[in-house]
Amino acid sequence: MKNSDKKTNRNTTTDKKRKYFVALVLLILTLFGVIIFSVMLGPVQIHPLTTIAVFLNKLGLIDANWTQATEIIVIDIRAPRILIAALVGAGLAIAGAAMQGLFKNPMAEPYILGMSSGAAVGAALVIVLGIGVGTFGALSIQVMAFVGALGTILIVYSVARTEGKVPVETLLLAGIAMGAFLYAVVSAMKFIASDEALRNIVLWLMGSFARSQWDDLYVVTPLILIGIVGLYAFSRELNAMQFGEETAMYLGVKVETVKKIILIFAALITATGVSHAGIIGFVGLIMPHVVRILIGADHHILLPASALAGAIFLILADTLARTIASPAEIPVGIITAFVGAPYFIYLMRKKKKTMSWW
Amino acid sequence: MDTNEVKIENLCVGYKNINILNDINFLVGSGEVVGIIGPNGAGKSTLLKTITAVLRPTKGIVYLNEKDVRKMDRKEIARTMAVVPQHTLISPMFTVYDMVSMGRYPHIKNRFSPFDSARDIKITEDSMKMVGVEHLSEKTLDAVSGGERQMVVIARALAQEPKILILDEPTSNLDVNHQIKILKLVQNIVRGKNVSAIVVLHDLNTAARFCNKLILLHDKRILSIGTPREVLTIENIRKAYKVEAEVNYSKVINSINIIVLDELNGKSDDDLKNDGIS
Repeated sequence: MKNSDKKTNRNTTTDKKRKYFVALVLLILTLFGVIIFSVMLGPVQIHPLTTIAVFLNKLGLIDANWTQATEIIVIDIRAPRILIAALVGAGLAIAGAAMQGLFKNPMAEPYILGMSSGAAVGAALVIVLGIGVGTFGALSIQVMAFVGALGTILIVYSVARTEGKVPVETLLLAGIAMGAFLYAVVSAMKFIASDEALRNIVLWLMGSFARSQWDDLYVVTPLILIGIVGLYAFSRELNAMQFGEETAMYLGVKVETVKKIILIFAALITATGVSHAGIIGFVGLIMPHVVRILIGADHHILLPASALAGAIFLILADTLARTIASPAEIPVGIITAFVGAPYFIYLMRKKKKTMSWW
Repeated sequence: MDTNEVKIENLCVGYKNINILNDINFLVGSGEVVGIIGPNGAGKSTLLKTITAVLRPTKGIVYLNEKDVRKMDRKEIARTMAVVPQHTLISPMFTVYDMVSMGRYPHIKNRFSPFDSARDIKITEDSMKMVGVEHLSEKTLDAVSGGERQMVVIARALAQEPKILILDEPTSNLDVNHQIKILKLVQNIVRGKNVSAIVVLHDLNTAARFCNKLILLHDKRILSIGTPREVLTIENIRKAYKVEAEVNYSKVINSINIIVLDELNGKSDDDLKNDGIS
């Protein structure tokens, strides 16, 4: 091996650092671009510069010189849903990446432990049976869905736990069983629902950001950001666990504690996302795979990059959802499924050739 | 031999009402390679799992570097003792360097920094050099052979800077070339870094040749403990393995060499007692 060919480890690590840094910068810039671009689109086109100006004005940096109508469209109608879509997309993607790492299973995603069905039961109880409306009013669906999601994962975790340990295979099976059961409960409720309630629950299940409001950001933002930061903090442990739980333990990882913590953060994100926007699939499943292939599998880059990619993806999906059949809106879950499912099949066929999932 | 790196005191291990090991006592000092041998079912894996703090004993204490293992948290245990398990999962998305650098985990305090410190990088590189795998550094784990992978795992164990190295059947499934490489490597590490090694081995000749001290487990207890010559006597081999063997000394390798002749002719324990073997 010639000296000129030989890369020292320090060089390769620096190369990697540079590659990851560039990737993150590109993703962040793309995210900003996509946000501005999405605010622009709609029945009333808003010029990108105006959009930026409106945001700057809100931050107190410049004076306004546009109409009240423009401001309403940007701030009250478009910005909230775009920002929440970004947060939910980021959250679902990073939670999906963490679940894939935790279960060492490329098919893992945020809803794998039954949380989506649990949230659906919560929402259905409100829509079909009116439970909780008295106490929570307009927020009932969100609150009940949130409780449903978290309640489900709590039950699944307890069922799977034996002698202080939670084997991932058992957790998966318990999650699938619980999810199936709860789905049956939702079906039963659909069956007894009035026509209007039925339509409402079906629409809720398909996922949408149409009802997102500025006030929602006050709840969604901290919950999802806590989840994102929390998951990132365990990047090294997730890396170690890819070599097996036994090896991770010998390296000093408190495996059972780490599993619990990762599940808690992932559950927080997922419950928040699903209670607010309904069941939006494929973001949590696909984005981590895309990032793994294009950038890297080290969780230190995989997690943040998945979050950014998820945000970009979901904003675009939501923008498509509200513009493609304007003035009608297609539920965003349909868009993500239409894009996600074919891509998933493409991924599977590609993996068949290389004979490994990752 | 400076300190007792591992001290096992009055150990009993079992679950519910089943006892797997009784009254185990031994010491391992720095500079020693100690082999744990015994027939299948004698409790070798259980003993190993107890030393590595995976299993809790029903009685007795495990001391690592003179500290009670129950008083140590997982990271501290990992800084003191590194384990090379029999099997490690292969991940095609990680390189040899990635795997060896995982050995720094118990030493890293900052949860949010994605980068290893310069010292961590140096220790990772030195570990790979000592084992002789630095030329494989950028290869993914599925692209190296089984023997090379085992050596990478040893490099990772070294990166933990342990006082005690534990190897669980490190040479099963390896060709003779890699078997010798790995065993010589363990000896070099133990001497060079003045640490101790505990190796579970199934092959008696390997055990005799590469260990300073042997612990022969049989019937839930230590049947014999001492140098290979003291432990691997014809009687002990008969008792533990129920085979007839010939034990020779080879000047060439300065070690005893065991040739297994035949199994004992289906004699029950009572028959053996009558023959004078208890």
